[in-house]
Amino acid sequence: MRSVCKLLAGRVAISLLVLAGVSVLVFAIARIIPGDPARIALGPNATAEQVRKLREQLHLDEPVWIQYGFFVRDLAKGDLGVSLYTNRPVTTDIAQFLPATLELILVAGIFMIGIGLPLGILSARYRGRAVDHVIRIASLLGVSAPSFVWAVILMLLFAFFLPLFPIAGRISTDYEIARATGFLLVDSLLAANFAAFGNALWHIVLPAFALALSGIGQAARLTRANMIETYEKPFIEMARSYGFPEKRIARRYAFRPSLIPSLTILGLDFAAMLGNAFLVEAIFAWPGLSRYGVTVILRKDLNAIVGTVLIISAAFLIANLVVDLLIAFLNPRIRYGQESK
Amino acid sequence: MRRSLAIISANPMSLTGVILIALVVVSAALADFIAPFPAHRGAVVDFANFNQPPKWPNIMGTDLVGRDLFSRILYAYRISLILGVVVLALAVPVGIVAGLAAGYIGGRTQFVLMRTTDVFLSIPPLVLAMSIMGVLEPTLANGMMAVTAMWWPWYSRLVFNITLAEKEEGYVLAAELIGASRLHIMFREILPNCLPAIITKMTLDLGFVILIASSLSFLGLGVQPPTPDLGSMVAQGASYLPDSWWLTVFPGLAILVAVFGFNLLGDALRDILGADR
Amino acid sequence: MNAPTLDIRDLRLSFAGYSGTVDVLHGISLTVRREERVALVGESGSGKSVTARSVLGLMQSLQETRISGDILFEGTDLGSMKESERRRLRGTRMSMIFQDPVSSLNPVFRIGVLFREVLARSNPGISAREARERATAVLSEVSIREPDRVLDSYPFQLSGGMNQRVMIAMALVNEPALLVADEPGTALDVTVQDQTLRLMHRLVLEHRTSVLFISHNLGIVREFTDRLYVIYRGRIVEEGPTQAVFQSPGHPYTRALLAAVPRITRNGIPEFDADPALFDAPRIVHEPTGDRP
Repeated sequence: MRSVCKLLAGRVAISLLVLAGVSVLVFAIARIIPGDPARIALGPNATAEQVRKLREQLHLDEPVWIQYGFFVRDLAKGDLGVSLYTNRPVTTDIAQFLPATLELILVAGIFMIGIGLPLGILSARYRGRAVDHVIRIASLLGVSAPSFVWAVILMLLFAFFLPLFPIAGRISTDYEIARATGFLLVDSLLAANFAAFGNALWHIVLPAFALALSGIGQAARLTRANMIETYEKPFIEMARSYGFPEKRIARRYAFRPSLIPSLTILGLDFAAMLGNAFLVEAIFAWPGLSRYGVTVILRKDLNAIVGTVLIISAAFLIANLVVDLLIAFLNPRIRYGQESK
Repeated sequence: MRRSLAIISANPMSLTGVILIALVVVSAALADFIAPFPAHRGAVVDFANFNQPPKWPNIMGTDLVGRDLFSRILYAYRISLILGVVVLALAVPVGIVAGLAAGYIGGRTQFVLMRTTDVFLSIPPLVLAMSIMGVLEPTLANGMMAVTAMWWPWYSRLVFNITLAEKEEGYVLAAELIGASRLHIMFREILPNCLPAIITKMTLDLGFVILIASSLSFLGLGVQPPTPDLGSMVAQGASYLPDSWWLTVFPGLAILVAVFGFNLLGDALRDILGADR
Repeated sequence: MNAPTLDIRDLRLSFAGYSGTVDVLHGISLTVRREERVALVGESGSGKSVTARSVLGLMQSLQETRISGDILFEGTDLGSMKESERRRLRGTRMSMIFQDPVSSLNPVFRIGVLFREVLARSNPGISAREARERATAVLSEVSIREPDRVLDSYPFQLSGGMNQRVMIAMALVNEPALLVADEPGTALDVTVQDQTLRLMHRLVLEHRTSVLFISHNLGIVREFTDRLYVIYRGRIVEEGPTQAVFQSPGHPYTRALLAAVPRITRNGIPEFDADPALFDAPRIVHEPTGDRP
């Protein structure tokens, strides 16, 4: 356990370092912006005096590194500045929109793991047979289209052609749920409103599945590849020599060791959904971070861009930390402080 | 080489991949001759014939201002392919040099280079490209730059991992013993051993670059109208679902076909070249 | 019934590959009688490991193998059994020990978990406690002094010799009639290998287990087996009681094998008494035959 703590401490330190790097990078990107952000924010009708004041307020006249100093100081206080587009603190904006996006991503993640891994196991176990070919082609198709294309196709098929699912939105307007966490699936349960929970679940299935499709394909492909590698290991032959059924060998003896190398990549894929969620939200009119993010980017709203990217990167790093912990938990070599070669 | 060709043509999946890629490349290259309405690549309006479902001669229907979708898709392929090739041509060398240097030299070089890589990899790819596009003018060149910025770290990590393993190999030690220079060892000894993995990844990535670029333009952050682009075509059609389904479905499938082709071939190459990720 | 534990009759095996069929076994016949320890000796590539795996039925499930001939286990033809019946024998009536103990034990499970699952092969309803007791008992039989610590360990936490003992204990815990040992301990240090082989030898004598011992090491074979078969290029070239073969080897290949054992004598390292070119490494002999696709 002690080595896990040590490992965790090391990873947290690296993550913070990386996050600092991200802040520099994002800040640099935001400052190479052509045009005057203050002028853009205030619109063409603002007076020169108003623009000058805003520039001062935003420290835009200082050298870039001093601007960065101000930025870091505010960041330490949890202050990401005020969005020039909504005129509200960026943190407030993000707190409002992020939960819907996270909810979508989490459900998609469940699809990715719950569907992708079993498909990969099946594919590896029946390598070279018809099942394997079907799964391989399907998972390759899954990764071959951006999630907005899947969103369009799924919506046409399962919301219009076969009206099984709603077309857009998070929940029907008939339901009033008090906002506690911002996660509708959680809030409806907290309010013990199971009808609302069912309704929210019904709304999330299609967008989450569209978001998950490439992840499912990736998970299946990765699991298959790693399982096939594991199948060559002597301990699988040993398990066969003990007459364990093939099903058990696949699910237990081959899957567990192959899951470990898959997890890192799956963590990255899961995190990539943070970006892809933007695409799916746009199609399904999902009230998440997407519209806000795209709008602030198009409006060149510096504080909001920097804040959004930082928050997303932090979420990304946290997801990777969780994956590292999971790996440590699953891989006894790491848990007992013996890093594998 | 002949063996590779034999394996590719013997495997139905990779053969399909080659055929799909050939179709895409040929239709992009010969768009001027194939497209029934070459003029529709630009800002043309034909309001008498707008938003029509597929029927002859508009086999994929017409868009909101009456342009032939099929012709526009062919020209969009051309831009997507150019973008993909340019992005990889820029990103791969950068990634290779960074990865080789970090892996072979080690020490502080490794720390700086690989942590920089980590920083880039810590921003979800699409978000990084979006924020770059956000501050730049949305033009094709800037789009290429944004995608390149998010792409090179994958190659530096790939090459770094292989270099770490290879530099312990006997042939590298032998080269060091006879006094070969660092540059020689990095580029003439280690690099050739990274090539199978790099080529495989490039094939797969050509598809993914097209995919990401279309995502950017879908969000309005890529190639701007009237230049035809698959992603922005889907975005424009999305509000006319389900009635004008052809506006989204055909450009969407066009992306799928191209990316699927590169993925099929990339998979086959991985098997032939025996390259792991 | 007095049928031998294992009776292999004219076993032929080939692999179908991209470039044609490769014949590996050209009609192997061998018998392991009850409580007999029989060696199958040959160099790498001679087909001895393939023979061992065929006995367990591990080769038959591969798509690319073509196999013919009969393998009789305690008088029953394994080829006539259903796959599930066959599988039921593995790990219960017959078991196998592999070359490399460390990589043959699944790295993500504790030894105790592996033991319990092996025990459940013959007794599916076995309780955790009962399994633990049986495992502890058999581990002390292989001279493991702290069975509890070993049972709570992962394979990588134990030494190679320890893993080898665990594997021997595991192979014998269900009291199989036949133990197939495929070059046991070749991956270990010579002294550790010797120790564990002695342990194994003692145990199979006590448990009256028949053994098919696959090896290229004649010194080991001489010490631990009653009878031996010499396999060369997928054919049995010589058989007989171990001591007799050692005293008067009949086939020139056997003589060459014996001569290849390093011994320090007054004359130094012995010379081949026949043309070495006759005894090329077998793998070059398995050239493709049959139809090319």
